[in-house]
Amino acid sequence: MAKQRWGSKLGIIMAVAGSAIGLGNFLRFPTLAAQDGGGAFMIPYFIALFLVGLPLMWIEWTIGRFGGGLGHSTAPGMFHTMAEKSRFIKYFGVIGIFGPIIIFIYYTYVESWLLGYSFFAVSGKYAACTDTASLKAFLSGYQGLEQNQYFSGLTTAYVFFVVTFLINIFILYKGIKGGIEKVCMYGLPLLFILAFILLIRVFTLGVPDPARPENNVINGLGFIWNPKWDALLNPNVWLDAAGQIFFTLSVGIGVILTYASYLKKDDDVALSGLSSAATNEFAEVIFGGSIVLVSAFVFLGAETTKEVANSGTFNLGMVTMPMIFQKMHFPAFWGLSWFLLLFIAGITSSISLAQPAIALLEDDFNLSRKKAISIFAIITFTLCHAPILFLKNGVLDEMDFWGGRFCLVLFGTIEVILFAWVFGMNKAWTELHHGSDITIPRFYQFIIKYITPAFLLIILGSWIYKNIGEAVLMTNVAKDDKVYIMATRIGLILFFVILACLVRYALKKRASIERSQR
Amino acid sequence: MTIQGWMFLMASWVIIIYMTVYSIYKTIKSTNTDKGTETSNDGF
Repeated sequence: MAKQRWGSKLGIIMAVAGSAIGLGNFLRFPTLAAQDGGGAFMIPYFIALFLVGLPLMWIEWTIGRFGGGLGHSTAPGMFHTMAEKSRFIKYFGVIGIFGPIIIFIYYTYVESWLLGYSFFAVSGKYAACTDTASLKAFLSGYQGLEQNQYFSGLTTAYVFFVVTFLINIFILYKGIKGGIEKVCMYGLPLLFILAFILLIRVFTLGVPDPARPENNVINGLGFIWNPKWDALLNPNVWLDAAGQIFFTLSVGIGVILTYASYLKKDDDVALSGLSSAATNEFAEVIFGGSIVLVSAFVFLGAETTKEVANSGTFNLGMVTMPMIFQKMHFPAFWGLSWFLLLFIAGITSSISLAQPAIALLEDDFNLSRKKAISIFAIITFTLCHAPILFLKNGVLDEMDFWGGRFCLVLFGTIEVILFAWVFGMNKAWTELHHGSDITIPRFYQFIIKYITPAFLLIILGSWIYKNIGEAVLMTNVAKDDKVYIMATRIGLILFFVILACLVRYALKKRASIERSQR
Repeated sequence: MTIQGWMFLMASWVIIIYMTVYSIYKTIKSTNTDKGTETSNDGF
């Protein structure tokens, strides 16, 4: 079966940037920046970008193209090839398929909320909700957490979920060039246009309440950017900044490995890695850092904005923003622009999350794309019902904790050690520069070999120290929810074991075919 | 907004805009150039 390829260099950069630009850019980043020291937060943020983010970006692009050149599209095969003497490394590579599937399962549902809200913005369904309490009730009703005057059950949310799921599957069915690349080539510019329009609107808000002249745009920017120097002494700020860089660039998931495997042997990876990271940072720092918190500050003031930001990541985007739009002229237009922007950010990420599993079925089990996508769709559609039906029991958060956080940091740490220490730094550096359109400064050899692994081991260690005890003992889980959390964990372990067996079978089969051909 | 706040905002925006414009410009330039005839590449 002929291996799929990208149509253009810009196409894959857009696809990787689309995978990276997600809800975290517009909701998580501004909240963290405001909570963790304002302008001072940007110091550890940029340090982490240049010491962890960019190196991991280059590592994943290089491993992906290297593995792709040897016929592998997913992490297990790539890792196995890079560390030939190890029989176990492929099982670490399974994380690069397991993590994205788990994220896809709950992310698609969250994405469907944004499609639903885009529709509600136009239909005016939430137009009657003009304060925080009513918009919170609207969101809870929609998510099925309570029955109220807005929603009597999960039917509406479920319909939007099915539509979102089918859109994802349709794009994936169209393939790498005709589906993923095309959507990102049109979707990303549209996202930037919408973000730019919203940014201009936010910057021209002036002083909506003449009685509170201090609530203006300049002070709103000051709310995010004025530095609190004592924050730099707080280790949690450094961890938050490093974590944000990790999550925002989509490194440590396995998606970039698969995307880069569709490159040709002589295609550039150094400039492409830099381009996709830079595009993501543009969306995060320029747009993400200005739209939500500044508009919230201008309408609500510093204290209320802080309260909302601390009450949950989605509350700013799905409760505060619609409320603010109601106070503007043309609320339907602004609401649609905002939720459509988030939906596009979501869909370019979710289609990337599906690709490693589909690539495994296509390339290692020799299935046609149609069959591979059908199998993927049936399995994930079934599993999506867990976070939909048991949202209130914490199933979605549990999947996010293991699939969307723990696996990322662990996988990233394994990758950098494998790349710099097992594959060998000199060989890795040559591979990274093969066909390259830029020369990466030589001091990055030292950074990739020593600083990035050390930085990642510290993040992983601190993260485990901070979270794992509480997570394993379920100290923050309500008594009634413990059974759901345990069931989720057992399900995740079983799923990982099944994937590991499939990978083992596929690689064994491939090895026997290769032996018989010699 | 304090002077330091402005300095952080401007410094962050300049770094990000420079990285983005530079890398996209180089990408478009290299896409339009026949790789075989290109003699050198630049640092960033």
